Amino acid sequence: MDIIAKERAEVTVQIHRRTLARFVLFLLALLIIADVTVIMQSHSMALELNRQQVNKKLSLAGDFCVEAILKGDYVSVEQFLLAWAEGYDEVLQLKATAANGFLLVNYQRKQNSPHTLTATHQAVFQNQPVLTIEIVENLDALYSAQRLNALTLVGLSIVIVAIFGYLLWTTLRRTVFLPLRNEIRDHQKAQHELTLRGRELEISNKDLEAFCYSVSHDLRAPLRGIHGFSTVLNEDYNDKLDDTGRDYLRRICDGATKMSLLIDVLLELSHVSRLKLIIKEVNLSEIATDIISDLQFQDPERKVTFTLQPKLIVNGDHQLLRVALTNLFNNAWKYSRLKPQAIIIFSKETSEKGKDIYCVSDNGAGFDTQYADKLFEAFQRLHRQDEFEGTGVGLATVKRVIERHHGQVWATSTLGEGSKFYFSLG
Amino acid sequence: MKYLSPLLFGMAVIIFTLSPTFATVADELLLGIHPYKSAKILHKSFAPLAEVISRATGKPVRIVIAKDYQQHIQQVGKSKLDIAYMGPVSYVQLVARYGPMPMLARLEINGSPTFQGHIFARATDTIRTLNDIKGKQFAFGNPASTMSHLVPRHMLWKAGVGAENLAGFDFLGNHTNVALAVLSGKYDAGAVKEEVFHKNKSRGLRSIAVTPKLSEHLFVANTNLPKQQFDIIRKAMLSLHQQKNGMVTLRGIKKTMTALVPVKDNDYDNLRQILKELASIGVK
Ligand SMILES: Nc1ncnc2c1ncn2[C@@H]1O[C@H](COP(=O)(O)OP(=O)(O)O)[C@@H](O)[C@H]1O
Ligand SMILES: [Mg+2]
Repeated sequence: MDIIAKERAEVTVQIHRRTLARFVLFLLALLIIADVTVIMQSHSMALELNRQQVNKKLSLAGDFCVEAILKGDYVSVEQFLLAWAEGYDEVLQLKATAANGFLLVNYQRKQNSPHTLTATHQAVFQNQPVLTIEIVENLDALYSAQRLNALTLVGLSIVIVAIFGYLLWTTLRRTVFLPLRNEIRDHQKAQHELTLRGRELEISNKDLEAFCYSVSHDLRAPLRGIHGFSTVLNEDYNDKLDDTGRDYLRRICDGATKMSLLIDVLLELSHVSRLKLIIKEVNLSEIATDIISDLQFQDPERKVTFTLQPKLIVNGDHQLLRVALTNLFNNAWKYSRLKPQAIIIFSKETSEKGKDIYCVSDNGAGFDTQYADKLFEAFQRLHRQDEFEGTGVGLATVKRVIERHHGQVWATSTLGEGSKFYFSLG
Repeated sequence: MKYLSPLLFGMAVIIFTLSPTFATVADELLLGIHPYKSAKILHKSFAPLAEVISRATGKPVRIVIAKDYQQHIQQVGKSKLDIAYMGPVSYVQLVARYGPMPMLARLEINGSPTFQGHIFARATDTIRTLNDIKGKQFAFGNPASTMSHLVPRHMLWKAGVGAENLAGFDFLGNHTNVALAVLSGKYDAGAVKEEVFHKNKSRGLRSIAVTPKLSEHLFVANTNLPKQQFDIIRKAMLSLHQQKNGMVTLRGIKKTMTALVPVKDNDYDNLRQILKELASIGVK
């Protein structure tokens, strides 16, 4: 569980890292596209500028040549153009052709280049062509300068993106990933601890319940022995006992019966705690009707008025809810016994927060509200045994059932006038 | 080390002769050069020869460069120079004006003490004879130049092609301009010295006529130079091509020079005749 969470955290960070890498690559691609555009533009601009410069040079040279040729000074033209071509390192070839096609100057540098520019200029005098100068320039220097520029630009882009990406990564790590990782770790730790404690709790509860069950269960056999033999003693040896003896025997029987009852309710409490919940729609009104008819069947003499709200339907475990309602109605029936006209009501109310609250109320003996919380603890009773008999486990069982439904249970009362037992579910 | 002392000496000579006046210092020889190139270049190219003469005579030699050709002739004629270098036309003019001059030696170029020139047209043109040049545009070099003007001008005249028979003519300053101008189609024909013609022939020239052979440039001496010194200098010059470093000295003056050879006044008779006839028709 811990390792899985850790892996999940790693995966999250890795996903972020991948996203960042993709973003940085995209940025780089974008920058390089921009670079290429700029480089291409600057390259064509540089070429155009070069062409313009060459044309200007040729035009100036042409002007000089025309001037010299008009004076018949061909030597100057030849010398000038040769010196000119020789002097400009980028001139690979220069040809000057007279109007009649005579090649006056033919300069060839002992050098070649894959990148050249050829420009031609026709020097004219009074609209008559005098000299055509054709020049081939070496653009290697220009190209290599452009190449250097391009490399610098691309290199710079890469460096910028790398620095930017690194900064972004470290910032993200510091501001997002590390806290995230820490949070995940803390969470993991807390969860781990919770799991451990939960398991411990579960184990101790289970142990307790198992102990309780086995004790209750194992007590039954000897109890049955005590009960059986005291019955035999009472029937077969009744005449051989005096009154005191018979009284003792009766007390043994009563004790055994009571103990059996105690074991029953304890087993029920244990059962309620251990049972696996089966959550379904449950009609509480139907269960209540059922329980009441049982109660009346057992004691048909009693005059009790039941008021039941129909169709009280909830989601819960049918069996457990039946146990809870049985206990609540048993109490209401029992503690209203002294009233000539008992009244028992089962109804639903709605809390301020809009929650459904169910209520079993009676007009019986009531109890001192000072101890209202104590009632739900096992073996806690507010009435004497000779007043109202009981084990003190019933409400504890109710509480367990309601808790297992994530609900709440509480009680109110006016001593001598009656009690109200409320519960809500989940 | 061997070259250092003549070099230093030459430098001294140069510095000395650069001073504005050249009043003769006692026992100093003046070597005059006509200004066919810049003074600086001439000083440099003639310094080794000056050194040769100096060594032969035991006297310092100073190089003097005239302002122009006429001043040069005048200085030689008035005996203001001890030794003078000049072209054939200058020599003929010198003798005509100042009488005979003691002659030291003339240049031998590629084994020949004479030179000639060509009257030419474009190889693609229809001009074949001097007569064909009638009515055409003609290019000359310098008006004072032997082979790019005077001699060809005489030849044309002799062939019946006077200036008035030409469509036009111009002086383009130098030989190469003439060759290139004809090649470029600006002129139909022209005249240049032989070497320039041969240099440009392959570019599309055809010779129409060859000039007579003229005697080369020469060295003359001052009429007042003692006979003994004249002989020493003449001997030094004529044997120079056999001397150690002699060829270097000669080539320093002209790359194609192979020797300095004997010269006589009648070597220049044909030129003298040409110039005389030209003068008669007003060409000087
Ligand atoms: N309806 C009621 N009216 C008055 N007191 C009640 C009522 N229900 C329960 N009590 C009080 O709460 C105590 C605990 O109830 P319960 O756990 O059911 O035990 P038991 O009924 O066996 O005594 C009872 O002893 C009684 O004092
Ligand atoms: Mg009870």
